[in-house]
Amino acid sequence: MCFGLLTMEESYRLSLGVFRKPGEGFLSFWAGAGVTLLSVVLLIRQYLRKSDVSEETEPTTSYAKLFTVLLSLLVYVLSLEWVGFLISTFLWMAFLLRTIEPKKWWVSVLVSFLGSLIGWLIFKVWLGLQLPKGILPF
Amino acid sequence: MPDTLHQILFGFKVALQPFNLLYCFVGVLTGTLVGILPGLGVATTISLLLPMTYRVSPISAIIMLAGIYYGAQYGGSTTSILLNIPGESTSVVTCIDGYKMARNGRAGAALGISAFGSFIAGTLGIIGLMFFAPTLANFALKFGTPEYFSLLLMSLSFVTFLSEGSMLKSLIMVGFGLILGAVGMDIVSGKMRFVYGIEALEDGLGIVPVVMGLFGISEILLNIGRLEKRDILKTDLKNLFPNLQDWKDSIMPIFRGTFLGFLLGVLPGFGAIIPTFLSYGLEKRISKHPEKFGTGVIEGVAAPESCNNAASQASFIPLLSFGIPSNAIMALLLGALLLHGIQPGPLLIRDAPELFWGVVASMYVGNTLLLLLNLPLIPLWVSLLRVPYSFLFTFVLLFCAVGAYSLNNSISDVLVMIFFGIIGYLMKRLDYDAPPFVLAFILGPMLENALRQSLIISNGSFSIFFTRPISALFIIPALIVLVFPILVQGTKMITKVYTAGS
Repeated sequence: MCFGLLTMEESYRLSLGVFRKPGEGFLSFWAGAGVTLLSVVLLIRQYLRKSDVSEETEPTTSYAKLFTVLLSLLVYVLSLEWVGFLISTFLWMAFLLRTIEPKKWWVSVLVSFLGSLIGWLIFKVWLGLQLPKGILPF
Repeated sequence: MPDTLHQILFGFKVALQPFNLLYCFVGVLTGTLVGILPGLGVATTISLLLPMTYRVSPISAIIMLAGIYYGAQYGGSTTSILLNIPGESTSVVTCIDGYKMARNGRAGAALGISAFGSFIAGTLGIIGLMFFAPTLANFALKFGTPEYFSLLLMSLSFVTFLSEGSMLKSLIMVGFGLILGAVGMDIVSGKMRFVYGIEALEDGLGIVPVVMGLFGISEILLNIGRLEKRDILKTDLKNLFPNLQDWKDSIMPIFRGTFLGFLLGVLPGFGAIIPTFLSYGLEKRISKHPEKFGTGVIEGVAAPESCNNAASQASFIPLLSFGIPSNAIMALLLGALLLHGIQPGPLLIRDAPELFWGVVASMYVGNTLLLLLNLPLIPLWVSLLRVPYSFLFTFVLLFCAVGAYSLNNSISDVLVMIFFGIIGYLMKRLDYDAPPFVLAFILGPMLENALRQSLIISNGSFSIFFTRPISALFIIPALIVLVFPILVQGTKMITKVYTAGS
């Protein structure tokens, strides 16, 4: 609902134009209005249903794991330039395999090594992507 | 007819070029793997591979991506039959009788008829595509901007109406998609919209990081931490060739499934899932022994598996003829074509015949490869099911990260992907469907352009959409589909209140 309202405000500022010459904000304004209205209806329905229907319990999720994956993804991409593709990929995959669904260290090392090698072959050799070398010469 | 034959021969000349043949093979192999491995969907895979398609010609790119889509229909049946877990959503119905056949010691026959049925349906579907697409493309040459707007609106409304979850939530997703599709520079006035001074947003939100996040990252986030113990049915996979009685029982269901799948696959919103349910229901209804359905009858496998293949082929028709995708997968393929600077539509067949006929011919090749791959290599596919998801997800994440980064060698695309990964995760947890959002996001700019131009032409009158016959043909069903559920819900509420009051 807030998103819809913000969109309407920004679209109005852009200019709605007139029907015979719609402006830049025309469609987004009405889309925002639709989102706002439907969100209100949804909120009311959810509120009315809350007392009638018992909520199903969701299976427990480890939010720490989700946060770890996302943060590690960010760190990986930030480190690509100065560490280089091969080393950063190896370290990242090893980290994920040891922390998310812990594997034995030698399995993590082996899979990470193979993974970074396969990745290099696919992205660099086959697809010709410009991957950062970092501290390695290749 | 001779012209079509000449064109398809030209298409084979394109499809059988070594590079295109290689990409066709890679596509169908990947599609089979995707279909077999639960947790890795077609949309996720296509979105992961979108950045890779930059490096190849558009023909090779579409051949590969198309191969993934129809290849997954073959692969999905393997896990349905052996594990009672559908590898793809289009193979859900196959679980019912397929798994029972496997438990009755007839896994080979089930897998065999599934592969052969898929091949027959795929081949017939391609023939239909070959004849219908050019015909519809000629019809689409009569379209002006009002017709395009109405057709786009109809596509969005049907996808919304037929989506799995709540229609209310799907409509919200459509609105969300339309708004985010507008981020960046307005092509008419040149003004920046919803950029807020962020340079990275000036070119708009890229299709690739958005879909990679929405499908790829979100799927990983959803699956992490879930323990999956897969009990693979230990059964002899012998006699993969159906016997004479199996063929006798299956041939008409195969043809019926093909016809139904093709018919519904062309229409926006139906995709390949709904037709498979309808096909199974139809076979059960007309069967001489309906009570046997659910106990392991071969018709219960043959019909839906043929149906999903025919539907997947038919769904290419709106994309290639009108330039309008009928489901989220086709929207991703549209994205791939746009990335290569190709605008699909009625002029595609005329202006880029090598693309259209090359892709169609590659589907013949692909279907043949799938038949050869699927049957003899089933034990190999089954062994892949033992690969723990914890290994798989690291590779998927790697593809996502490098794919997004390599677009512009920029961290901003990765940030967009992560953001939409979180959005996609929340959407899945809160039962908001992605397809309406994806379609609206990709079609939004085209819809807006068509709407603005139509209103300029009509001097601000919306009647232009109703007075032009072809436009009216599309917009009236679109409005019925949007308004009808509201009227039904409203009537129910009023009746409820009236009954409670009395």
